[in-house]
Amino acid sequence: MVEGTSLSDDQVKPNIVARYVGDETITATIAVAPGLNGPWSYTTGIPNSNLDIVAPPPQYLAVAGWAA
Amino acid sequence: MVGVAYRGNIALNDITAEFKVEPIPDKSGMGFGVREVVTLIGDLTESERVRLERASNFCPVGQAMSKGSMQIKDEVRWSSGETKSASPVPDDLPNLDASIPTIPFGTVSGMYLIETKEHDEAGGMIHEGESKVTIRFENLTRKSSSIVLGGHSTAGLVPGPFPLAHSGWASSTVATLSRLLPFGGNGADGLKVELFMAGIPGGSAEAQANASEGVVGYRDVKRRITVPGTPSDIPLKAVQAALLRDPMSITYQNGGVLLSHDVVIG
Repeated sequence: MVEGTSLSDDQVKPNIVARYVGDETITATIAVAPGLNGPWSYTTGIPNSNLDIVAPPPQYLAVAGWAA
Repeated sequence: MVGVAYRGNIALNDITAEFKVEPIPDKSGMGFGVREVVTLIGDLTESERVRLERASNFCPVGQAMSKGSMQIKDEVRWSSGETKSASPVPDDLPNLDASIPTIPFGTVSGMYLIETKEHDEAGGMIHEGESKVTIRFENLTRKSSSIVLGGHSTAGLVPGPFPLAHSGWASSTVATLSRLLPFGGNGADGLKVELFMAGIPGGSAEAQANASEGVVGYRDVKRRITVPGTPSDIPLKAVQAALLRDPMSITYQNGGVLLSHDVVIG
């Protein structure tokens, strides 16, 4: 075990933002603050009984990070 | 794992990672599990295979999802302007009757793009390179698929694996709250989740050293949830109760999503 990394008090800008955008759909953006790399945006869908989702459920995006 | 192999002088020529995702119906649990098979290509000894097997479980994403390495502090902000800390969580939370979305069966397949690995003039590796990840999942009326790229490269055209996983966590939080909170006539419009994270102090070298040695590196993260309305419309305790039902939040804090794990030499 190692000690955890700590957030500095002056970290006022988020790294990642996810928003509900309607119709069982979410968009998430990585590296939202100005920087050398990014931003990268991804769409995910919320499984439901009424309509096909337009993108994978959020958990699949997390597993994709694991696979990468 | 490519970085761990490089630093350990292990002759890993290629690698694939296959995950089967399956729903686990359990109202109090994380709702899904994964079965992982990593295939190593190369002339490897058994001890090298074991070392890489450990590394695959102790990479930053693997630690977060299977070891519960994330230490999360939550904050709730209402669109009316109030902000309150949501950590720690009290014992007397309300029961939320609504169901969270069922996670469908599917697969996630990672393929290493070896030509994206970068070296300096002396031949030392400076970036591990990128991976192509194919996602297949059961949709309501058909099977669907998507492709995402992730990894480490100078060009920075793709996100790192850890941020990619976090974007899934943030999205999972939104999905769960959209179902469980008592939104008014406009539904979940205005619902937002922001993550504030510090980088790993030692960068990828430290992460890979932890992975190689089987060391859990705990990470602090602040999560801010913005909800529409006022604290009277959506009480703090309702948000806290909903967060405890979120599949990704459960696995990030408690681990346990990994149902099986095999590392084979192909």
